[in-house]
Amino acid sequence: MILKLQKLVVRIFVVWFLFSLSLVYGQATKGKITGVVLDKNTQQGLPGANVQVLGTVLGASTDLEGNFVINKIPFGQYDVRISMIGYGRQTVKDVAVIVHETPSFTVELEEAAVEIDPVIVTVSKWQQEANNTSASVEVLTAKEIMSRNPIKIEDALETAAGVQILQENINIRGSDGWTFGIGSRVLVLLDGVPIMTSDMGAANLFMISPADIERAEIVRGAGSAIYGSSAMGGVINFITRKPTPKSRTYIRAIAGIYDDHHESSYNWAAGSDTILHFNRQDFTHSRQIGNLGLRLSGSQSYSTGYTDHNKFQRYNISTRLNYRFPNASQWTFLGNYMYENYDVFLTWLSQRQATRVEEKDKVQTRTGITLFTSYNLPISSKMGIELRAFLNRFNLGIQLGSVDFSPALGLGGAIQGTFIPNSKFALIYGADFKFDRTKSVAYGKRNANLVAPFLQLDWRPASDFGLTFGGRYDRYSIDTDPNSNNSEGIVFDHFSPKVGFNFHPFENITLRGSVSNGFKFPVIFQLFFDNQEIADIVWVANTKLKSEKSWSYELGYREKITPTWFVEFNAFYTEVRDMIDARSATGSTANFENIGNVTIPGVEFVSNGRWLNNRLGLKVNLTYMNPKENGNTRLLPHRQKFIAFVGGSYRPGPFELQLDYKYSSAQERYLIPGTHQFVPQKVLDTQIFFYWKKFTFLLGVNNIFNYEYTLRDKFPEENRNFIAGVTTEF
Amino acid sequence: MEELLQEVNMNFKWHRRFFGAFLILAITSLFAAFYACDDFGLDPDFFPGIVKGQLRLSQVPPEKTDELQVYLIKEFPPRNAADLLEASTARILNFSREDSTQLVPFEIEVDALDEFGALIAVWKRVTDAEQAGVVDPFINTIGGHCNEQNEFIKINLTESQPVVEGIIIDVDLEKVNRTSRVSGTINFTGSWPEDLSNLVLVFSSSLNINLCNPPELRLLATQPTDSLNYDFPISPGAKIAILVWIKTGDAILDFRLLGFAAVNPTEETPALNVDINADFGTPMSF
Repeated sequence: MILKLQKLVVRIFVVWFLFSLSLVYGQATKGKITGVVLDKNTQQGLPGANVQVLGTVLGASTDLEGNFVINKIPFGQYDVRISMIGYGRQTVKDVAVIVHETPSFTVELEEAAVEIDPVIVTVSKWQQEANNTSASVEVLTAKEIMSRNPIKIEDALETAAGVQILQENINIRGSDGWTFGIGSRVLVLLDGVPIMTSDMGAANLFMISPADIERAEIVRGAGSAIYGSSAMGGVINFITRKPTPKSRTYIRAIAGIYDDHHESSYNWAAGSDTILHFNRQDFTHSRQIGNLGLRLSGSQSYSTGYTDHNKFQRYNISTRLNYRFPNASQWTFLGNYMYENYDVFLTWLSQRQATRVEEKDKVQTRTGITLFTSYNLPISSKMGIELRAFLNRFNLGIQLGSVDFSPALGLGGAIQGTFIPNSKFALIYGADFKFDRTKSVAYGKRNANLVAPFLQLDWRPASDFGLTFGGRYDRYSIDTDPNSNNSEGIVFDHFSPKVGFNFHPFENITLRGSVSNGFKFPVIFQLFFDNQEIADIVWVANTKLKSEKSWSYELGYREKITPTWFVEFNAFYTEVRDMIDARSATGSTANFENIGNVTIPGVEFVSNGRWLNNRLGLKVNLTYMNPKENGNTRLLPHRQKFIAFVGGSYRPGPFELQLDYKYSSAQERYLIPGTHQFVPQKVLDTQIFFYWKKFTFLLGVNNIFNYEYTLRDKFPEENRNFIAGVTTEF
Repeated sequence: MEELLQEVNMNFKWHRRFFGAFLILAITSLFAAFYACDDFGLDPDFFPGIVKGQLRLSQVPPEKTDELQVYLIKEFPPRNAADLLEASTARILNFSREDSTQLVPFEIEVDALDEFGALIAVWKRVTDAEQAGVVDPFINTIGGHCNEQNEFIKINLTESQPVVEGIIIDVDLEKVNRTSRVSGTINFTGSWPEDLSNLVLVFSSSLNINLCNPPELRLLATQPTDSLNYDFPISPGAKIAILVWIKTGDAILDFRLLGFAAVNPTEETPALNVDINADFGTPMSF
């Protein structure tokens, strides 16, 4: 059956490829567009600006002087969009490409501190404006990320609406709880490549160097119709910076110390001379040599931790290469390596005493390698194809109780076609492939493979109204392992459709809605991890696990009140069948079970704006939801009803003051039985930046009020800490 | 401010109203933030009960000693591993590794006032392969808060009496000073029960097992076989090796007797070739 399916997929793509080639050689006569992009204030050329011919797959980047040329454009009339990070976007209308004439124009872009409506790519795997999607999307800019992550990128993600991070688990709108990251319901991508472990299905956020990130796109709600399993609760795509013609070097060094707690009995370092502290250094350099762009980055971070058993030291190295061929095709290579030593903190014994971990398990190592290559070829002005291949090799296993994990290998690829016959239609189609290889004494040797064809149509019958239809079929086969206690192989398959709309009844107002199906296959760890003791609980396999399935309904209203201020209201309702969660029936054993059906109704308010020439900024996110298991009056474990973020900034002269307040209401259930005190999260952070020439100096205090709280079982969150840092960019 | 108001003075009147409401919301949020000044989250008395006392050591701690622990537990033996996980514990690291007699203080913070059935002291070894996979409190109990009849003294923490002080636990480190060995073969007859969950070799000074001074236990493999070789480090001294099995679902110390043998290992002379005959077909009792 699998063989037949694979043959069918191959045949479809051979026919499609031949069809594409016929278009290449059957094209009509073509012309070109040239121009120059300038900084409005300095009148200097802007290198690296993105120029896109709308209604086609054609585009270019500007060179060191801001010049661009786009060749092979069929005769006709086009709109051309020019965008660049940190600048307001412009569209040049009705550019005519005709015989013997090359249209040329100059565009002046104005610097903008906040991208209110940035170009996004995640939602439908093609370049689309946030205003024109049917999904709820939020974009975190590089500035937002770098100013809010002293050590970890997770701190920046929590400034997005409805997002809460519980150690390795990412919870978007109540979709996920806390399971050491196992079986994540949020798909994390690095430049479109999944960075999920093949055995645990956990998001490997440790791979990400914040200094490399140009923006993070956060899609709330089920994304399975285009991204498959793991995207049931949402998608986060970290887009790394592309090398630009102008060389860029970025260096950052920060350090900080943890303060005493307000109650001396809470102090972890009491009675010792140790000052709990942390530091981080980042370096990145990018440049363009001819048609080759390259970037090299590295970082080191170290923390003593704010509790016992919480120390870590991490190194990241990454590189990116881009090569643009004369025929406008582009090759990209991305390589990331991560190494970390960390202490294991399981739970506390008391407020200042950690559960003792066996000496052999106390210090653990995480490693990760990601290699990614893609080739993007515009076959004609209407059609492009992209070939992608990637390799992930992660070792994030819970290496306790002498459980021996080999690094989990994920070898994947994708072929994707984009067909844009005119500005009304965009057809995205292709297939994802993946091969997983995992090995551990806890679940044997498990190989698995995935085949997933997908298709999505974005249709705008009118300029103010758009429809989205899409679907994806996933088939995931886990091979047998004759030497394992649970030797059987398992096959999962699922088709997930989606339909959505986007309507602009007035200029600056957008209504949107969607109905989408989501699913998540159980991961190898959840199915086969057997007979292993962790924290005195023996975990056993459950090979009878079924896939989680969901339907998500969403309606949204978005209004751009001024050019630099928008507000958004969303209402959502998600039904999940056969939700998988960790449960302990006996108290001495535990496993992953299908706990039954779950509903998550909710409403959300988002506002992001800047005023007074970008000097004053205010971001407000409020999410109210009620995630409950059918028949249970309490919330699902590790979920909150209310999450809020209020972030304000004011920049008088060379100074900038930033205040962030994070609130989440108290949880009602944890996993580990026992007495818990559930309190809300109330954390106020502040940072002061001083800009001087090419340097930025930082002083900050996080958790100003030294608020004590837990978000998971017997696990204290960070207390007050002071940071100082310096950044330079040239 | 005027500049700001001009900026939001759009075509629609409600925009100005909305902006006003929005400013009120933001200011309310700031007030909420400052309200947190008086709220420090988790209660300072998050652990309302305290049990204080001392361990009385009468031997030099064995070389492989990592730390000593004291467990305040609802009942002993525990019904399951979760009972141990929920137990309040104190870790004791500040003992002398050279003194043969010493009093070492301990203090246990308790997260819920309740009645507790047992207070036990446990020896924690430096991890090595010899005992991997067994639960420390069974194997390494070195003493308990017991009366003269060798019964555990209950500890009742209440609102009126949240602190109990002055407890002294005599600990016996000889039993964890495993400087000898015992080895041999277990020969099985009869068919293995399908509901066998654990096979345990118990080393006790008598057949009358006393929970205040529990015996040394070793878990054995549970794959059906005709014979099984064993080889364990053990403390010197005369004791009885008792082979027992536990039925699935039974309590942890609900032993079913299979066979026994007398052993008397010393530091110089380990007890070797101690064979035990076990018959699943002939029920035995203590």
